[in-house]
Amino acid sequence: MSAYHPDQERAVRLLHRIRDWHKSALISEAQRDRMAADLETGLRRTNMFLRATMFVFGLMIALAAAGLMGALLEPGNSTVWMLAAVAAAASLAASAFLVNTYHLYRFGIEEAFAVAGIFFVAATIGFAFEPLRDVSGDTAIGFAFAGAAVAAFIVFFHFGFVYAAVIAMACAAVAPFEFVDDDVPRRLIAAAILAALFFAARLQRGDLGDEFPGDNYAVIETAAWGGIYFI
Amino acid sequence: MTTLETLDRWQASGVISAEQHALLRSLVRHERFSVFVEISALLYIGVVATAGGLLWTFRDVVANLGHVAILSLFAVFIGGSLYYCFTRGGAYTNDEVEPPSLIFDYVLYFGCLTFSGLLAYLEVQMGVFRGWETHLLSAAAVFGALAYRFDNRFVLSLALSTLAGYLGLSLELFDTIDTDRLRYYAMGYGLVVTAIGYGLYRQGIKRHFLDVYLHLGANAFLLATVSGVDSANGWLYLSLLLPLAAALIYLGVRFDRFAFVAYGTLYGYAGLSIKLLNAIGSPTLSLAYLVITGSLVVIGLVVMSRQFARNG
Repeated sequence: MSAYHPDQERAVRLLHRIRDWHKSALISEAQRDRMAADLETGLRRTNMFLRATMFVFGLMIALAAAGLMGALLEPGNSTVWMLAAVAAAASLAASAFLVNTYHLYRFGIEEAFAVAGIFFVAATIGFAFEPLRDVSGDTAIGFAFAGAAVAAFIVFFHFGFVYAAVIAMACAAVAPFEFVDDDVPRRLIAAAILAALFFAARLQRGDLGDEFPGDNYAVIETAAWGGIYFI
Repeated sequence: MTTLETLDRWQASGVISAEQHALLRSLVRHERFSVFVEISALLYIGVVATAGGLLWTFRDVVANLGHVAILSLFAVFIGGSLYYCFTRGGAYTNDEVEPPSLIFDYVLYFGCLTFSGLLAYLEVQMGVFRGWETHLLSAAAVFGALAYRFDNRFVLSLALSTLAGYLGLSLELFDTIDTDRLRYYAMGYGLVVTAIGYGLYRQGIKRHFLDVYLHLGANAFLLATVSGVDSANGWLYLSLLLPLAAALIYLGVRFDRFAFVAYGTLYGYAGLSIKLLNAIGSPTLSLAYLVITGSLVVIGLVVMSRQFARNG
C-alpha cells in the first residue's frame, strides 16, 4: 500500500545518520561518500527550504484551482460537495502521480497536494451532510472531521507523512466535540480515541525502536499521549 | 535490510573498521544516546522562566522590599552571571569558540534577560530615562558586546532585535502603523544590519555571525518593501523588491544558502502578486492567475533544484 519501499525509507533515514556521524567525526569523508553511494534509493529529494517553498505554492495552487472551478461552475448548495469531491480526488491523484512518476520524496509539492486532498475530503463530507444541520447543529462538521481523520490516515499509510497521522489524530479527537453536547462524555470519548491510537501505535512499534517504521509510530505515540493531556 | 544489518555488511566489506562498527552499532541500538537537545531545551525554558519569575516577583513585592533591596538582587544576579562568564570563558578571539560548558550560554542568556529586567524596572518604577528608547539602545549595545565577547549567536539575535525595537521596528508596529516613514526605517535597518555583518565578515571578525545579520537584514528589508507595494508609492517599493528578490535567489543558489532562495521567491511573488491582483480585479481571473503563476514558480524551482538535487 505504501508509495515507498521500506528499504527506501530505511536508506533515507540511514543517510541522515551518516551525515550526523560524519559531522561528529565518527567516520571519514571517504567513508561517508562510500556509504552514501551504497544507499542509492532512486528517490528525488530537495533541501528543507525549497521543500517548504514548494509546499506553500502547492497548497496555493490546489486551493486556487478548486476556487477557480467553483467560480466557473457556480455549483448550488446541494451540489457543492461534488466539486469538493472532484478537488479531493484530483489533489490526491496529483500527489500520487508526482510520487509514482517522478519519484519525489518529501519534495514539498506532492505533500501540499496530499494535505489539500485531506482538506477537500473534509469539505466534501461537510457539504454532503449539510442537510443534517436541521436535525443537529454540528453533525455535519463532526462528520467532516471524522472524514478528514480517515483521509489523513490513508495519506500517512500511503505516503508516510507522519504529520498526516498527527492531523488524523487531531481530527479524530475533535470530532466527538461536534457530536456530543455534554462536556465530560465528549472529552472521555476523545481521550479514549487517542488512547486507542496510542496503544495501536505501541503495538505496531513493537521492538522496532528507531528503525523504520518504528520512528513514525513513536511520533504517533507521543502525539497521542500529548493529546490526552491536552483534552 | 535493517540499519544494523547494513552496518554489518559495511564492516564485512571493509568500509568501516571493527571499532567504528562497534561504536555506530551502540549508537543505533541506543546503548549510547545524546540528550543534548533535550537538556538545551530545558535549560532555555528554565532561564526564561526564572528571569520572568524574578520580574513578576519583584513587581509584586516592590512595596514590601523597597527599591534598594530589589536593585541589590538585580546586581547580584547580573554580577554573578557576568562573573561566571568572564572567569570561565576563554580569551576573546575572532574565530568561532565552543562554550566551555553546557550551561555557559544559558548563564550568559540569563544575565542578559535579567539586565533587560533591570532596565525595565528602572523605567517603570523610577522613570530614569523617561522613555524606552535609551533602554533599548543601551540593552542592544550591551548584548552586542557580550555576544562578540562570548561568541553567542543567540545573544547577537537578541541585540539585533532590540536594536530593531529601538528603531521602532517591532512587528506589532508594522501591523498597526501604515506609514512610509516606518518602512524607510525598516529598510534602513535591514541595509545597516547587512552592511555591519558584511563589514565584520570582511574584517575576519566572527565570520560565522554573518548568517544572523543576513537573515535579519533581508527579512526586515523585504517585509518593509512588500508591505509598501499596496501603498501610494507601490511601484517604487516593487522596483526595489523585485531586483533584490532576484539577487537573493541568485546568490542563495550560488552560495548554497537556500533560505535566501525561499525568501526571494516568497517575498518577490507576494509583492508582484499584490500589485497584479489589484490590477486584475476579477475573482475568476485572480484565481486563474494564482494557479498559472504558482505552477510556473513550482516548475522554476524544480528546474533550479535539479542543479543541487539530493537524489539517491
